[in-house]
Amino acid sequence: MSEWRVTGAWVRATALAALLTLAAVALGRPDLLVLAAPFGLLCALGAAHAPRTAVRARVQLADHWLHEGQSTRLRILPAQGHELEQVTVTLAVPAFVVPQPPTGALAVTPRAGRQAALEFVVSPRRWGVRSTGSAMIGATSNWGGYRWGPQRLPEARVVALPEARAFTSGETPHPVGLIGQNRSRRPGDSSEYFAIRPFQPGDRLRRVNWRTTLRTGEVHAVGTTAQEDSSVLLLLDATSDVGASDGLDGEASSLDVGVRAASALAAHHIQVGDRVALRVLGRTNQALGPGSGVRHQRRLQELLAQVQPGWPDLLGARHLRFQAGAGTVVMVLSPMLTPEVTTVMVTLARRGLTVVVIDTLTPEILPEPARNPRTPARLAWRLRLVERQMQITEVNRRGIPVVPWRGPGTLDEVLRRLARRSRMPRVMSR
Amino acid sequence: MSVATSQSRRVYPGFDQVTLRMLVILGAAAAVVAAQAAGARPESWELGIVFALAALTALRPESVAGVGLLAGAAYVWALAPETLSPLVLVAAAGMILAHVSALVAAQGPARMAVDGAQVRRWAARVLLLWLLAAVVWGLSVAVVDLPQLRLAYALGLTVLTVSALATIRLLSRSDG
Repeated sequence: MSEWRVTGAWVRATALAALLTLAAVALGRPDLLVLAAPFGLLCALGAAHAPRTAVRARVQLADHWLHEGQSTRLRILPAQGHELEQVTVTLAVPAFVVPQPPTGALAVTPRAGRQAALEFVVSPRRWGVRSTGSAMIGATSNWGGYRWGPQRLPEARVVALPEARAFTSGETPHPVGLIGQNRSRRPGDSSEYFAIRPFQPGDRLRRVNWRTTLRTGEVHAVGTTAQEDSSVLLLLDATSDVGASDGLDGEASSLDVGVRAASALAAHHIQVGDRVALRVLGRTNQALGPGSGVRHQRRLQELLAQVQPGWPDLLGARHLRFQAGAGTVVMVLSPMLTPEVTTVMVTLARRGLTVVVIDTLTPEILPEPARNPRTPARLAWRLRLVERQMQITEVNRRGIPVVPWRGPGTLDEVLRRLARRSRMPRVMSR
Repeated sequence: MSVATSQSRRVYPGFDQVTLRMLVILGAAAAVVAAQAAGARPESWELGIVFALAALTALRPESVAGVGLLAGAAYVWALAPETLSPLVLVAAAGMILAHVSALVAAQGPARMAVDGAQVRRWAARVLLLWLLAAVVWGLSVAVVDLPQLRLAYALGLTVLTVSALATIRLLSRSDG
């Protein structure tokens, strides 16, 4: 708890006034009294305006949920104003939070009858649960005689949701639901052309293809495939985070790429009507069952914002339960550095699920020691990357495609190939 | 493995803060120049100490160096042979300017932008304080030729104290 204390300026004025008055009387120098008088008045006015009540302030954050890169207002509202001449607030912001003004310090002169407010604009530059910074408040009484603080104010927290960059991809290979935008293998009433076939009972008259009918002499109709939704499981590997993260404005670590890619994939699949589930393999182990709709997307982003890199309590195919029904497409976002995660992928693929790996470790993400040939860590990184290449080869051998994250279009080719493959008969081991 | 690197942000004091701190040195210089113009001949090392204290006060406006600076400036003035030179008002203005500039600069960290309302308020107060010095100087000039000088001192101090109390009362009311 802070309290009011005299300022250095008041001490200076008092000492000087006393010293000069004594000297003026002792030496008989009225000019010294001329110099002493203003400081004496300052001393007296400062003492006369000694404040009695403690300074209290509230911290208000306009938005508690933001996307990384967005900004919100942080307001500091001092409770009492009539005894205060100036209120100063300094904001010590943590990493990945940028304040405006950039100095992180503001002062305001309270006016009678008006609520004084100090307003910062804070912007989280990286996803996650972030503090808006430690604010310290200080106040000066009228005529600069007394000072309160600096006193620490409670910190406000903001959840920075990962940025969902524009993403599009091809259709998923196993549409199994009722409504959606993925072409199903079964015929149905939609706008997706399938074939021109002989007319069948139940076909609508407007589907009749008159040109073929006239040419062949038999009534033909345009056949369409049904459009269905599919189920997507996003599996985020948060066991490791490689590379430096500078937030939105700079370099991205492997986990940054993973989280932002998961957010973009979730946004895309929910937009086309798919059911999306999430499983995080990391210290926090978030899991969310399949669902669709904007509210579900928001929930997914909230969980992604809370991801923390680290080793989960139990990591192994035997211990993990995935809410993935038949036909679910599993999209694994991983830097491919953890053999246990590779085992999980292979286990899911052996269950008959379609697994796609999105590689979040691009060459530019590798840390400096991995690229600098002069450092001893270079050798360790080489070994690690050889192990990673072995894992990639192993999953490829099991029919699991690995594609680096490139944003829109990353999965087009691979999903097309998987859709083609899913239509072929295959032998499954049980 | 993860390296969280925060954005490197170097924030330097703005032009307003630099100006405010330069005024501390300028105020001290004005007081010294006024004293020299009134006939004071301080040693160069004495001047060196005063300016060193002025620089220190500009850097650390809340420090005790400010007391030394103003006391030093008053000492340099005290070396002047002419006791009631009108130049004492220039010296007083310089000392008030140095003091108030340090006071405003000390209201926040050096990187903070100076509040314009505070500057305007203190500019008016500087004028008020200087007017008080001018009134005291005028009274001193008026009573310096009186035969009972010590009685005049006592009376003057009493009048000053009463005036100060009345001013405080008035200003307290207007603030409240």
